[in-house]
Amino acid sequence: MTELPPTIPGSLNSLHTKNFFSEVPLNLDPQSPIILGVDEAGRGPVMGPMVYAVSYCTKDYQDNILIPKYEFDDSKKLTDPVRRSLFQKMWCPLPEVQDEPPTGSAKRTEIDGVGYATTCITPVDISTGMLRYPPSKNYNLNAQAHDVTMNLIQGVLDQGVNIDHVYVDTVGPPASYQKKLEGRFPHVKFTVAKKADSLYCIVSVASVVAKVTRDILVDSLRSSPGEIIGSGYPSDPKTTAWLRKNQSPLFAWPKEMVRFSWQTCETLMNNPSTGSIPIEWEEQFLNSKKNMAQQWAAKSMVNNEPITLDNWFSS
Amino acid sequence: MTEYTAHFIPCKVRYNGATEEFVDNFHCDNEDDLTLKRKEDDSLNGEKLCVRHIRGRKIVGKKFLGSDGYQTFLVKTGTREGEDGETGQISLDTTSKIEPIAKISSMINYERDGNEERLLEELEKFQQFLDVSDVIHS
Repeated sequence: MTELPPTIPGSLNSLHTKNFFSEVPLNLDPQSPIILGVDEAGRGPVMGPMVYAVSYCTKDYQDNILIPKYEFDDSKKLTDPVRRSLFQKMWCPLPEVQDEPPTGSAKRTEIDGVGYATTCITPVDISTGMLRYPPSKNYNLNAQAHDVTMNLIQGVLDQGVNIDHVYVDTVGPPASYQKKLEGRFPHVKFTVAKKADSLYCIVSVASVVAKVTRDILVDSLRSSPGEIIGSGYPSDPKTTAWLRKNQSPLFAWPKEMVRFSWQTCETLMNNPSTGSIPIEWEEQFLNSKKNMAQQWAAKSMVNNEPITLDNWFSS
Repeated sequence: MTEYTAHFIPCKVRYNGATEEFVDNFHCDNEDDLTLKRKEDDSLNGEKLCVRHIRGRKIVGKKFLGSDGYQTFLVKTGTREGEDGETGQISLDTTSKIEPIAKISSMINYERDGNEERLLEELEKFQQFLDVSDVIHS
C-alpha cells in the first residue's frame, strides 16, 4: 500500500492535534437509523499519538453488509495486514472508477456506506495538557478523550448526518461518561460500554480506523527505516531500549515522539545513571516541608522568596 | 560583542555550561493555537505569547526590556567575598570591575502554561520598578 489513508497527511509531522472528516457517504438510507461507533488507539503507549476515531453508517448497512461480508472485530484481534486491508476498502477508490475525472463528490469505494473521522492527539498536546501548572489546571487524559469524542460527534452532526445512536468504547466508568454525553447531545441515544469494540460492529470499524492511523503515524516517527522503536508501550523492552538509547541530558527526547507525562519518562529523567541533568519544577515542592524557595535558594538569596522576575531584579 | 536572547524559565536547571541541544529544541511554537485545550483555559483572551517546550511542559513568555532606550548586558561581577552564616547575605568584591560579557538583545520572561496570571503580574510589577527607576534617574 503506497498511498496513505486520508486520515494521515494532516497529522504527519504535526506538533499539534489534527482532525480529519471523510465525506458523508452518498447512500445513507434515510429510512434506516444511523449508528456511530467511537474507539481509540494508543491510550497507554509512552510514544506516538493517541488516535480517536468515529465511524458511522445505517443500521441496515451494518447488519446486511458489514457483519456478513467483512471481518471487522476488536482491532487487537485482527492482524495488521487485515486491518489495513479493511480500512483500505473504506477509503481507496475502486479501480474501475480510479481514472474518472474528479466530480467533487465522494468517490466509490468497496465499503461505500461508511463515513469516518479521526482526531490524532499528539504527544506534545497530551503532555502539555497533563503537565499544566498549577495542578488544578491539569487537562488530564480522560478529559482530553471526552472532549475529542464530543468534538468528533459534533463534527459529524455538523456535516448534516442525523445520528440516532452512538456506541462508545470506554476504559473508564461507563455510567458517568454516558450521562455526560447524553447531557451534551440530548437528541442522540448513547451506549457506553467497556469492550464495545468486540460487541458492536460499528465500534469495531472505528477501532480499525484508529489503529491503522496510529500505526502509520508511529511508523513515520522513525528517523531511519531500520530504527527499532517497538510498540510504544512502556512494557515493551524495545521501546524502553529506544528511550534509554536516545535520551539526551537536557531536553531528554524529541517532543514530537514522546509523552513526557508518563511515569516511564519521569523515572528515566530522575535516574542519574542515564546522564540526565536534574531539572526541578515548582510542583515538586508543593507537598514538601521545604518549599520551592528554600530548596532553590542557593545561599545567595537574601530571603526565602521564590526567584521570580520582580524579586530577582529588586533584590 | 555577540548578541543573545535571555530566557527566564520557571524551573531550576542543575547545570551551568554550554549545550548543543538548542539546535533541535526550545524552538518557538508558532502553531500553538492548534493545541488541544479547553476553551476556558484561554485566560489571555487571545493575546499572542511566546510558546516553547521543556521536557513536555509548555511555557509561555513575554518579552520585556526590549526597547525604550534600555541596553541589556550579561556581566561578570566581582567574586564572592564573604557570606553571613545566619542570613545568607553575600558581600561582593566591590573593588573589581563589572565586565560585560555579552549583549542581550531580547529578554523573555516565562511562566508555566496555566499560570499566565503570574506572568502578567510579574511583568506589571517589573514595569512599576522601571517607572520608579526612571523617575529616580531622570
